[in-house]
Amino acid sequence: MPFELTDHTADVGVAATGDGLGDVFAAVADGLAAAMCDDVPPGGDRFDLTVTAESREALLFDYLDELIYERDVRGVLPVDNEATVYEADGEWTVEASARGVPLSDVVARDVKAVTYSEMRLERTDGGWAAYVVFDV
Amino acid sequence: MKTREFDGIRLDRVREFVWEIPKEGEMRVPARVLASESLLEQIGDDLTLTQLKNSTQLPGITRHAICMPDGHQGYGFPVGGVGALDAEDGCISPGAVGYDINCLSGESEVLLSHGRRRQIRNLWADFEDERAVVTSDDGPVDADIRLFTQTKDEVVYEVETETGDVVEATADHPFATPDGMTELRELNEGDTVSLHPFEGLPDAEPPEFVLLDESDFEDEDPQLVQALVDRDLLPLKSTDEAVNRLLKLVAFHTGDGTFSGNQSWFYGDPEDLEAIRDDIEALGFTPSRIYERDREHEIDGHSFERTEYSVRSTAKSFRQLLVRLGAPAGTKVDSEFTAPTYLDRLADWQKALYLSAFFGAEMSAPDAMTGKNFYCPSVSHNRLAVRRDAGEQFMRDLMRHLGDLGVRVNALEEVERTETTAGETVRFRFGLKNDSDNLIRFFTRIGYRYNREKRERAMLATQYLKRKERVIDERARIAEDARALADGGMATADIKQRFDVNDRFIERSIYEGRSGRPRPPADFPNFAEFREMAEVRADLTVDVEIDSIRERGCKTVYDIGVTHDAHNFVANGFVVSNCGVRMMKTNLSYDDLQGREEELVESLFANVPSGLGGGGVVESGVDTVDRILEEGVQWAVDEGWAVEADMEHCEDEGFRPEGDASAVSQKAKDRGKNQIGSLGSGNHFLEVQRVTDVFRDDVGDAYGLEEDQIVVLIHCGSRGLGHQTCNDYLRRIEKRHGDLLDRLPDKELAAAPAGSELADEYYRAMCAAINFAWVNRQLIMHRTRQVFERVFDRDWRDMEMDLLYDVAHNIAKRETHAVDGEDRDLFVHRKGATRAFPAGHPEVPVAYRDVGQPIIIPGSMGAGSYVLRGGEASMDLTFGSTAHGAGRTMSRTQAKQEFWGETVQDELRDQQHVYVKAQSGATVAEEAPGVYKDVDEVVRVSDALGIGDKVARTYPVCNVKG
Repeated sequence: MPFELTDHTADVGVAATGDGLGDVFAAVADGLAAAMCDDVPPGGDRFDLTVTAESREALLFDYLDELIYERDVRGVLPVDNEATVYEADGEWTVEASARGVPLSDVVARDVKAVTYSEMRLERTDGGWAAYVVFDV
Repeated sequence: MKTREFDGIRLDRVREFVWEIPKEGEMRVPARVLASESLLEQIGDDLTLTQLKNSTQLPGITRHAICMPDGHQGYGFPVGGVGALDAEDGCISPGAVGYDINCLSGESEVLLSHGRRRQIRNLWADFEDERAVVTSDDGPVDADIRLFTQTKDEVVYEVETETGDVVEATADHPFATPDGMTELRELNEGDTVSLHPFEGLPDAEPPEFVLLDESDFEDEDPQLVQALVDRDLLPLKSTDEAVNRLLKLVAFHTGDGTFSGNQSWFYGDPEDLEAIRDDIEALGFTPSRIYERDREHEIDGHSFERTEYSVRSTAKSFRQLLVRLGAPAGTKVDSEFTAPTYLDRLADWQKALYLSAFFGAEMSAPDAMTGKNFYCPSVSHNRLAVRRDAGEQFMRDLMRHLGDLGVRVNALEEVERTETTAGETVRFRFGLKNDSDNLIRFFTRIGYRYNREKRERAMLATQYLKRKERVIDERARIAEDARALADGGMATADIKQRFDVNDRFIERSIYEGRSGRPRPPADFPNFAEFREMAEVRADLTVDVEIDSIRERGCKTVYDIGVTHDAHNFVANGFVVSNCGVRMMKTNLSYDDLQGREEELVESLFANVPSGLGGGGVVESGVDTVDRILEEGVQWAVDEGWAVEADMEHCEDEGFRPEGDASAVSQKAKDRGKNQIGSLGSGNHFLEVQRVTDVFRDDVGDAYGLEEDQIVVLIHCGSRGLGHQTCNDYLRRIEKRHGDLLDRLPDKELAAAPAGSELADEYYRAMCAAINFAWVNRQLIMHRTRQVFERVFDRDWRDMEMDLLYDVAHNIAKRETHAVDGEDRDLFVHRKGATRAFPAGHPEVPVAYRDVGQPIIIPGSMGAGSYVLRGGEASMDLTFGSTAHGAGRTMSRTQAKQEFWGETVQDELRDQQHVYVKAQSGATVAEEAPGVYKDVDEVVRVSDALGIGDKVARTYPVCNVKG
């Protein structure tokens, strides 16, 4: 599994890895889903989202913030995330999709928000690694 | 002294339960932890202390950053943290040239108070004692500098305006423009920026000497001397701040003031008199209000009326001070006064204060005589012929000082002699040389003070002259090039083709030669036309176009941040979900409930929305959300979800008037509209409890609490709306002031240090989210009343289900606190801390004012909760705050490994008679009693310190969680 939920006294941390930036973004997003729900059933329609920001870290923050927003507004848990990240003219974009499992079909806990606290997004020998703390 | 150390952070024990991390390094104030040794052990176990230490780096933080006994690691500020930030503190706008904070190259000049300027890189040593000029709607004002940073190797750009003003800044440096602050990277040649043309004189420390001491007042009443000593005005030294104000007052009074008995009068326009009032007040005297009276004048047989404005000080000591410093005591024309001799010994910028204030009263305003050339601004001065020599001396003194400051003057003239009733008078006059360079130097370095109209005119004249000089320079260059080309043999017709000027100009340049510099072209506007087009704003800035932007390589760049009350500092990362807790009383006893627990818990769980996607008591459109954001609990009253008494028993009566729905994003409202009246999940819950102990009978009576009574506790916040609002602003602040945040130790501390508008907008958004949070808890409480009605088949009013209190524990609030004996306006940030105002505080609701504000401390499922009252020591120790709960000690992931939800649930029911109903077993495990600090210990510390005294203890009966 390219992500892992880590100990954090009040909140939940997600440590994730991926070959590319898109992979590590999607892995953090899957970690976010896992922080909300232990058993994800099949079903639900996929939806797309595109987010742009001024830097990689800001993009990761905005992407996760957008997923939480979509969750509340669509009433779905975004799982099986896929993401492609690219840069053009100094602006970073993620084109992503997720399977939206209706919240009525799952037992899920609220993750309130993404935070910048202790956030890391860095290149490793094999690809990319990220750490994000979510406010629970 | 006893000390403890955790991961290199040392704490000294100040006294029992009080630990201090001494100020060191980047810390602005020390930090304090209020804890017993066992609680400190837990607090030291995670990042709490590091986060607390980091928070002391926030600009404007006052006295201490404080960690409550239940503190634990959060994001940015620790949970259980209290930080009071000066409400007049903001890291904004050393707007000398319309600059905001941020990244200027080291040579950039910053305008400081009293007309001084200094290169920004030379501010590091004493920036905290300095005051910079900030442009504001009320005009230029002085503001404290609170921040100075330096960054190496940043790419800088040189921006040159059409008037030849140059500044070097980084691409993200914001410039003031007519459309608001705009980063340099978004500006192009031809765009308009605001410029503050006044530059001032180089800052320099004046030689220190005594101007006046008690020996100068030997013939005066000792009481008068004492009055001056008391105000720190005697002895008066050249380096005293007061001197800089007195120089202006003495000079202006010499021009447009009179003495009458003990009274010192000043005459001018109302807004200029306001500036004079401010200076009199800053010296410690009480100025009068501004008087207005209509006076009739008669000149050449024509009488006309004009309104005269004046201000006075009635202090005899003030009058004597002005006189000793050189203000003429009697009839001015019949006086021997000259310019004060001490001026020669002062710094240049101090001389300029005297001169500019006198010129504000006495020098003519800049004006053009013919279309494009200016009159020489001049000073006229009358003396009786018998006082002629002194008069001449005075004028020559002024001329000499101007010369020393680099401003050239024409010769002194004795213009006329007239016979008056007082005798023969002589009229002297001198003017400034009116070449552009000389006038620009005068207007931008000395100019006029206490005279708004002349200052504005001087700024316009400056811009006009700079523009004109640039055009002339360009034409001189063309003339020279044309001549060179002609000398080289090019045909005149070809030369004319090359330049965009009229042919006649080229011909004259080539054939006729020209003595001196060329004149501006015919279509260059004259000053009168320019005045029509240009505008000087209240802050004395003017619009100019950018002529060029060029990259200048890498340099070390500097920022300063200044404070100004137009730009309130609001720290963002502190205050997230506005969560809080309320307690509702009933007249039911535990006996009434026993046997019905199962039914009650099921019914509450079914009727109070909780968990993810669980909806809300009210699901509605954005228009409803807007009303809630702006009206608070009043909306609930209007819609039948609350009664008046609910408002009266809520903190701030359930309404923050600053709440502004337009400051909350559409995204936040979209998240909020389906969550109005919902618990959410995590540590938020609703609990039916029984009172097990009442520790203070008198307070218990006042609160209406007694043993065995059933109460309901509701703990939740503003839900997705509040979180979205927080992150929206966090990101906006980051985009706008990212490089400043980079210098804070943790991005999540993410203060809104800069950007007046953004900080202000954030505060309005946060207040709106707080209104939403109160309504959220109100709806859950009212729904609970309905559930009780069904379960017990009685009207809720019969069961006296009244609100005890609702208090937020994740909130920033503007409050007044005494710091070092002085009342200070502070934004008190309580992140996981509860306001705890003692008896007698005017902000405690009337019903509780005699005993102190109720504080509700929710505990964990197995340990019960507490009701406290604000303690006597809270104002001194913690800015009126205490703990907010038990505080976690174990992570959620670990808790899920240690506990099994259903087992916890069964044990609680069978052994403790606590009925828990949650969305999932995992939630129960995560919130199991063992994962929290010992709430008894937290309350013991609060009680012992006297910040929150324990009143009652409650124990859960039914618990509903998301």
